[in-house]
Amino acid sequence: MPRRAVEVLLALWRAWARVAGAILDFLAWATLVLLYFLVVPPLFLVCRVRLNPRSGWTRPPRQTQSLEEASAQF
Amino acid sequence: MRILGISCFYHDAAAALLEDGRLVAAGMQEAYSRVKHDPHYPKDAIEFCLRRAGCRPQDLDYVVFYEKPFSKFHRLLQTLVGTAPRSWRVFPKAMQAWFSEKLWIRNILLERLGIEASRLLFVDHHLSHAASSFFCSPFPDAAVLTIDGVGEWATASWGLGSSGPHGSRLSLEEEIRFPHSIGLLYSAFTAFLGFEVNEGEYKVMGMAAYGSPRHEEKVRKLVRCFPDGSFELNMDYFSFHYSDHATYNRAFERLFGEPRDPSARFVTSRTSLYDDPTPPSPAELERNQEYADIAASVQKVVEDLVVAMASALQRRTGREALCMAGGVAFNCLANRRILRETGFKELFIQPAAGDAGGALGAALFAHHVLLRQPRRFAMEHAFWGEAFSDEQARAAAAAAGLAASEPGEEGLLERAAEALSAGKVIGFYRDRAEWGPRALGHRSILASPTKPEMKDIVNIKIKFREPYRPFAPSVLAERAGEYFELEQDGRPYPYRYMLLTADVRPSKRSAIPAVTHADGSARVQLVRRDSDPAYWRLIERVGQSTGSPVLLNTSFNLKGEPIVHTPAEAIASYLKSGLDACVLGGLWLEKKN
Repeated sequence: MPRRAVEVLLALWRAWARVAGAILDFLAWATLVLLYFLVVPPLFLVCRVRLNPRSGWTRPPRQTQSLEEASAQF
Repeated sequence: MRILGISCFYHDAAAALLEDGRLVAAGMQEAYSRVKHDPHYPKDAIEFCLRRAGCRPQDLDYVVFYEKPFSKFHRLLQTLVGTAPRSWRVFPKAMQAWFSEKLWIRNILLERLGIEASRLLFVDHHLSHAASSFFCSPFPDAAVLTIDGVGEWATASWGLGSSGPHGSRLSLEEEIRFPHSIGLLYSAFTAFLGFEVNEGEYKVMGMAAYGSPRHEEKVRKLVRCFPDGSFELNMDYFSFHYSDHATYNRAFERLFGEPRDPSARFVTSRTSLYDDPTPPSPAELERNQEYADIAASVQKVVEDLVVAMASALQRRTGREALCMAGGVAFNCLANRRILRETGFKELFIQPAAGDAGGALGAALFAHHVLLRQPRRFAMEHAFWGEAFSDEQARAAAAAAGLAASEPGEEGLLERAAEALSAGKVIGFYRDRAEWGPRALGHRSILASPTKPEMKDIVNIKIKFREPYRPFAPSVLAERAGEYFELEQDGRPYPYRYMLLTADVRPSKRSAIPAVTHADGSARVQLVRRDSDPAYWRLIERVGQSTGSPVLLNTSFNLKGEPIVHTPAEAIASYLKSGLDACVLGGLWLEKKN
């Protein structure tokens, strides 16, 4: 096959891959946005989560002081 | 016993390695990747640490990560729900980041390092900060204060550290929780003033010297301070808790006006124009003065907040020594006020006080508190990074086609001192790299500060950056008091790491104008003969010639780049910039006119 034709095919494939990637990215983003509106605002309304409206000094809820506690990721 | 500490996946990824409680090596990933504040897994920094210790990952007793990933994820989820529906834009991006990488940190570390799961530990973010300061300090007993943007939930915390024959103890007693954050308050103004968040905060500090805090009352509408040293932000003015790109909102803009254009020049009646042919219009001067006044106002309020926290801590604990860490500990103006106004007589901050230092703190916490090992280490200097041999320097010079001479150490210092005394600007690259963001004489650009135009020359012709930016002085520790009004005769450790400012004595301001900032202060570095003898001798020689044992010292990098790491990078920056000469290990490079 002439070299020029191979180059054109490769360029077309790369362009398609970019378009397909953008479509997949958009679908992933749209799915997450949909998920957000299905889950997060209802949770907000039901659980009445508020983000530390008045902070001040508070005692840390837990604190790593042993090897066992340090093996946990929370 | 070998313990590797790691910090990554937020910003300033780093690694630090302890051997029997002594620091062997510490490095930041940005030095290797050449990406400023590189947040990725610090593969190269880890490899350097292992190479320096002569061991493999399998030889490590423990690997310690600097925060608790699931606690951080909990904060993210609660914030997303608590700010619904405004958080919808940030949700997809956050979920993609967390589900593709951050939730699997344990697996990533185990896989990359090939170690057993039982050897991997996680220490809370602010405990890592606290340990990085307390266990590097020489104090057996101290109060600890950590202040940053945010860790898992905490944005500031205080605690107590103590060490004795029966082991060490370090615990955090109280914390202030997200979204109330001094670091994020400062970052909001950093963005408003046209700088990059997590990068331009020190530019705001530099800009503040050109203004007066006449907007202090406006800034105080954003934050309330309480008698116990705590505070809360008025979240009506911020958007960092529900946005991934904006830190402040319209209400903030209504209060402070139009944000500064990042590409606009900053010029006031007190800044230099140097060779800029366009004089500023009265409107431009007025606008920039307004921004300088806003910078001065937020700087004043943040200083007041930090001083109030430290004062309350001193009253509550009665301790005389304070260890500080977290990004806010880089605010050297606030640090000076702590020593002056709070009752603490001693202050320690280690040179990588930000998140990079979390790697070191996590390892130290595991060694001393979790494994109950005794303390054997205090950080007396900052040179824990990688060194390159003269052979590597020769190869880099040859590859660049440069002729280099090797006059021996004394000859090198003599040539460097002669060049500096003659008003030349040189690169000074030698020995192990500094740990932390400051160049302290091993990866530095140096010049004599005796002529006022030197500030403009180094800013514009060497580093290609804004003319208003200040430079720090390096001074012989023994003679620093002649030039600077030091707290406690210059004893506090932060003076070694450029983490405290001092006023230049009025009688000396004309002697070292290039390092005297607009407000008469300087972020001084005291150089001690015992911790860096070669740099000390260079400054001494320059002093014999110019009359002032002081050098202008700035990091060896060009605008927007990390500090040079390899000899080849040093040569590339030397060739691209207006540097006249360069000490490269044992080599002397000089440009011909």
